[in-house]
Amino acid sequence: MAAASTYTEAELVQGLKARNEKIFSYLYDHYSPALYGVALKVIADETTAGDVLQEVFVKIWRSIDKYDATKGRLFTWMLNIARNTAIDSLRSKAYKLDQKITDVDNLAILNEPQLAIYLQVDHLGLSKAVERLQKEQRTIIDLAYYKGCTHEEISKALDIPLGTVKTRMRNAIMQLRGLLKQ
Amino acid sequence: MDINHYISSGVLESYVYGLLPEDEVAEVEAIAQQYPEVREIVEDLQLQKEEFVKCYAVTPPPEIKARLMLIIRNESTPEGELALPQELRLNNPVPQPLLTTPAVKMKAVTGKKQERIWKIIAAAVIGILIISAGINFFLATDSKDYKARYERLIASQKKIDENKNLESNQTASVQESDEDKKLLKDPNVIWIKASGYGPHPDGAVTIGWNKASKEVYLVNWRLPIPPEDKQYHLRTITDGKPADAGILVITPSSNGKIQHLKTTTIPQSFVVTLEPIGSKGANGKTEIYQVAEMNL
Repeated sequence: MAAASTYTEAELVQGLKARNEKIFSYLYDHYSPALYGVALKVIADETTAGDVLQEVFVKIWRSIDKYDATKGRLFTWMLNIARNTAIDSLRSKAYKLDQKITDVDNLAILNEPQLAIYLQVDHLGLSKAVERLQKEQRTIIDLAYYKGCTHEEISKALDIPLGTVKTRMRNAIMQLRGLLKQ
Repeated sequence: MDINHYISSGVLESYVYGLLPEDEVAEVEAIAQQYPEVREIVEDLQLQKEEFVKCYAVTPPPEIKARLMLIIRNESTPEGELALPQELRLNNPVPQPLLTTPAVKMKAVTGKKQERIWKIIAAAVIGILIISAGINFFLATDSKDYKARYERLIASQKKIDENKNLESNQTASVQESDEDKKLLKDPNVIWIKASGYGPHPDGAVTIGWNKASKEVYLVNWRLPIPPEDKQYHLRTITDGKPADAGILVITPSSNGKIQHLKTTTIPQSFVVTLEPIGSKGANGKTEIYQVAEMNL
């Protein structure tokens, strides 16, 4: 990505701290599709996802001083903000937490419209590699990352012992790694 | 600590994909600081997650960027602040009172004020009683004059009523017509009660918007009379952009009457501000009194 090399992460952080609008605009242009993708995967509603994206960038602009480079890259930090904001919105608005737990209880979550919608989104932007991820492995990553489920909820949803959720997660991610490298 | 066992347990993957509760997150971060090999794996996983997430990237609608640029450009103005959801108004440039103590203080002040008002009313009632007793006594002793005095009283009452009518007629813009009364029941008009803002916590006006004619209305109930050098403005905010909706007439006789203001297309929020006469919403001189959100 030639355009991405215009600014280093350190320069971006510095620019945001200096309240530089140009840097903010650049940051938005380069990172908003990925962050909007996260919001859409979590919420599956374009209007709410748009509101979430707006909130995410205001949070980035306002709390750049809280970014700690020792914990990870700027993009990782922004992804965390996007995921957490989207999951908060998911819990507080359209889909209530109890709804999510009921879904997990009866495993209907796999056939839920919200998942169906993002499966459609998958086909728009998803590389073949991720599509080849086994269904169970993909589900575990989706439930954890995009639905904000806990170990307990995943253990219930996939009907696997609580103690094996972490190792299953690891297997899924190792498989994903292999696919992304291909 | 068997670091290899720790690495292969899957805890790092769970950490990177946000599956761990807070206490375990802190633990992983502490261990990553201590063991460079753990840190390296975490960084590698984070990079991999970034790649994974990019697979789902979707270009957002362009208006979001436009809205954001407006927000950050206007973040130090009250309008910019108001364009944000409540929880994001962190560095609020409008001087907000500390939420608890001054609110209590204000209550105490109004409590005292009310007490004083009651005292005045009580004194007035007693005064009237005494006067009326005097009049009764006078009338009783001078019953012949009764009829003439009664007629004079009726006449002066009439005169007062006439004066009242005259006074309310002077303010043309707040004259209440039958048409206005119909507006209250018109299904095209959305009426919303405004809420107080900052140091003015009480809702004092009702704002209406006519879907058909796009006209904006305002009914004042309790806004304090502005000082001579200042006036109230109504401003609309749509997509973060403020626009002037007109100057309000706030006099004792305008209270409770419908004021017709400018027309506006689909407003999102309304703000009532007190500004020096002649200023154009200049920074720092504008004080926000009322806020209303239009949920269409």
